[in-house]
Amino acid sequence: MTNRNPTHDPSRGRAVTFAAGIVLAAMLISGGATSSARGEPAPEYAVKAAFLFNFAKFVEWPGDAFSGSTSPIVIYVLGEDPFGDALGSLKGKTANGRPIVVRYARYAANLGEVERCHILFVSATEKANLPNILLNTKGWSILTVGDMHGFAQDGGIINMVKEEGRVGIEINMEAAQRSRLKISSKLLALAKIVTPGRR
Amino acid sequence: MTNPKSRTIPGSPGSSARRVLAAMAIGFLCIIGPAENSAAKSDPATETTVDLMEMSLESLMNVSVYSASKYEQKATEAPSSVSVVSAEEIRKYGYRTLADILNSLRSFYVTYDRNYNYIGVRGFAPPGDFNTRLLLLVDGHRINDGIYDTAAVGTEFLLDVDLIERVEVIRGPSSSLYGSNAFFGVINVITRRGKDLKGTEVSGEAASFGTFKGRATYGTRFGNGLEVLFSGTAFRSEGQDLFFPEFNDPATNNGIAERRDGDKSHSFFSTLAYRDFTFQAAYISREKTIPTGSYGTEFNDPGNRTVDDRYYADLRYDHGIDEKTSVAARVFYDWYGYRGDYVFSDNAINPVPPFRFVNRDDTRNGWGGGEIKLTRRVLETHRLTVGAEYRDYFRQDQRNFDENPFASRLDDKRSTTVWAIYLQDEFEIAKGLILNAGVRHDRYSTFGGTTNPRVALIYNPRPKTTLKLLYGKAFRAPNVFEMFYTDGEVTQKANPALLPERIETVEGVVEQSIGDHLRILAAGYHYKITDLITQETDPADALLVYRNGTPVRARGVETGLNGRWENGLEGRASYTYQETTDGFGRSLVNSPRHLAKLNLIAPLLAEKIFAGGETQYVGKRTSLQGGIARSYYVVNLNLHGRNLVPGLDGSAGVYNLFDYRYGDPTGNKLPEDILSRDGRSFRAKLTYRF
Repeated sequence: MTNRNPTHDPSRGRAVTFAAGIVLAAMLISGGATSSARGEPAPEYAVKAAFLFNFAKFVEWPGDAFSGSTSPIVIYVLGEDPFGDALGSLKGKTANGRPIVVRYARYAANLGEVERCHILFVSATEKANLPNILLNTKGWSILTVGDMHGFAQDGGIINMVKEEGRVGIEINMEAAQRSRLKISSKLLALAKIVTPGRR
Repeated sequence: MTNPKSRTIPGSPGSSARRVLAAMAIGFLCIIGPAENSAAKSDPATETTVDLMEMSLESLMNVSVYSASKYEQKATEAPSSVSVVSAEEIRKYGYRTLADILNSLRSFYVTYDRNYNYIGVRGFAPPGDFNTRLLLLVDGHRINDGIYDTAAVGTEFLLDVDLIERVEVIRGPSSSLYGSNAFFGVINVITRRGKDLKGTEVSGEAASFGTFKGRATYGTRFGNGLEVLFSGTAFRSEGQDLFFPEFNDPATNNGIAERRDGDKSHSFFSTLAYRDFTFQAAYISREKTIPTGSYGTEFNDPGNRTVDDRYYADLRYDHGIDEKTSVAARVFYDWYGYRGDYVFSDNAINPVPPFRFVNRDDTRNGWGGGEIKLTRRVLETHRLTVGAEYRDYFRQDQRNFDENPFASRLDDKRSTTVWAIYLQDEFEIAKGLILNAGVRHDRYSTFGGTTNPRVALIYNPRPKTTLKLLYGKAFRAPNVFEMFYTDGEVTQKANPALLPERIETVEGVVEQSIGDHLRILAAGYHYKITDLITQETDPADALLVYRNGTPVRARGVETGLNGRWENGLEGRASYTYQETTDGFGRSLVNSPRHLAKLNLIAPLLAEKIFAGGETQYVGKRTSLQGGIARSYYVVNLNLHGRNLVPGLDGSAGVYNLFDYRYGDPTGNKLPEDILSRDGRSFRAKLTYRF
């Protein structure tokens, strides 16, 4: 009784052509970007995870930031986790004799939980809450790390920026000193020192 | 209605859709194929990560990187007031459907007519509306269908709530970014990813009224970066025997609908992600038996039922070209099918006693399209977004016929298209002051074009204070159901001359953090709807018809308090006062003035056992026939245990704890003016990961 045959519609052809066009355009853009990158490219967040590990090695916290001489360096990822599995390779690693522990807090509302950490990575998803987050870390020896435009100028300590397909570093020295963190000269030599409030 | 030039091609709609799905899947596998092969050899991604950890700072700085930025428009960047519900909250409060989740939010209230759930927001929930004025997205993919515009949030929603990572609700008009349906707000459901699972998860639950649900999910992320998630769910509910006083007559079983509230569904969901590409496929088929005798059907007849089928395939591409520029594109193919069987009795149509015959709605809707969006930071202080979208609703078929003896009442075939372009700029005027301005132009093959702007100011005078001011216009295009549906002019007639309805909103929001744990919010809004598409009864012929009706105005105040402490204690409370008026100065039907919500999670055993409790108060509402649905409050309580034995979560909940009797105003099609909701009910659930 029921006619299950669909009638052919020329507009379906249009949709398919349009869809194919978008896929093609997307692939062209992605292909172009990949071929322009030199050397052996690595996933952005695998590189940034390695930077985090290096920050743990090249930053010195005041003694009162730890409860014991072998207590861990706690890294908190605040907001949506962009690292994927990359931070998993920090498991079992030590920096200056301290094991590294990674924890996650999905929303800035969890800020209470992160007060007792050493490195606070602020995901780009929390950009709108940045002033609030920085205010909450004030007075604590927490190395705030971000990877968003203007993070160090806005009061964060280390910003990882992508420049010409590579990861570079911006450091806000004032903020580091205020948090009583000593950043090794080796790290400083490679970083761009920025002044708060100036873009 | 059939186009005489059209050529009939063999094959059922299902098979042609499957072909497209298969083609998309093959295309996706082709893209990821080569990488998989190389992974089999040496697992390079893991190695790279390990190597990177050993590299010196200098060499790290020389590694060139590619990004797999998965960021869409973020809730926190939205220029209006936003609510977020996390997977943890869903577990701890024992939410069973998306409707449960939304019902707990500030200014939302959800009604149920024993077939579909209807979302009320900001005092607006006219009976007979199928959630057309909220845009529902799953990972950015539009869920509202192309016949009724329905945002399905009940058991017919195609995602098992267990697969939700979080729900973001953005209030206020968003047509400037999303087009039609983003009228009162946008609900974006973000799904869990393979890496969140890293293995298999099975879940089973049993609840009151013979309700059972089972789910199996597998997800992981392989060394080469390929991430997969596959999940299947089966759900079945026998339902209750319900008493309807309207039918309290021996001829209609004394008003008792016996075993007529059944609900069953099966669904499938999968996501594959590799580098910049994400492929997603989702499917659900749900069948609901209708106990209410709606549309004048035979009461207590087992044949009254609806079947909703929905599936889509979506391929997304997100790429960060450089620090300042990112591109996002997607192509998709969607299907929605609806079958409604309505049993009537008429000796003029079926002369054989008991004169029973089935009238059937048969709706088939297929569409496809694509979207491309480019975001770029310009002049340090501007973030520009430009985008274009195209949707081709190549099949919008509505049929209505009597089954036996066969008589066609409606055979309407449509195909419409819409394209749109949009532009948005986020301008940091000064430190702490952001201007967000956007505009979108949509062009429909039916009624023409519409342009919708939105301007917002976001100001942080102090670090703990945020002020938002918003003005925006939004629209909803009349859908083909409203324009062309008729059941042969027995109860309803068509109106092809419908125009889009429009809303203009002004809104102000203040958010303030107090100490480390509390955040308060206050928002005030005013909106005006013109050309509202309303179902009316034409006095000339007593037929239902959709018309552009009288203007509606509303204003309201929302207040909220959120808190969260280190020990796991968290909660939210809100109170909303709202006033709505139509063109005659009357307040709207099903529009409560007062709404209050309180949600609280308390840890009973640290990190192990949590109690989640909530209460919802809804003020009194008027009904279509002038009745009053009295105010009510409902209390739900849930205990959630995490890792009871390693990998095992358990939860037990009681809904409507105090067995409060309440009901909702219903739509035109129901004989009941106020329809009772469920009394006290229970659910137990176990989830095991391995």
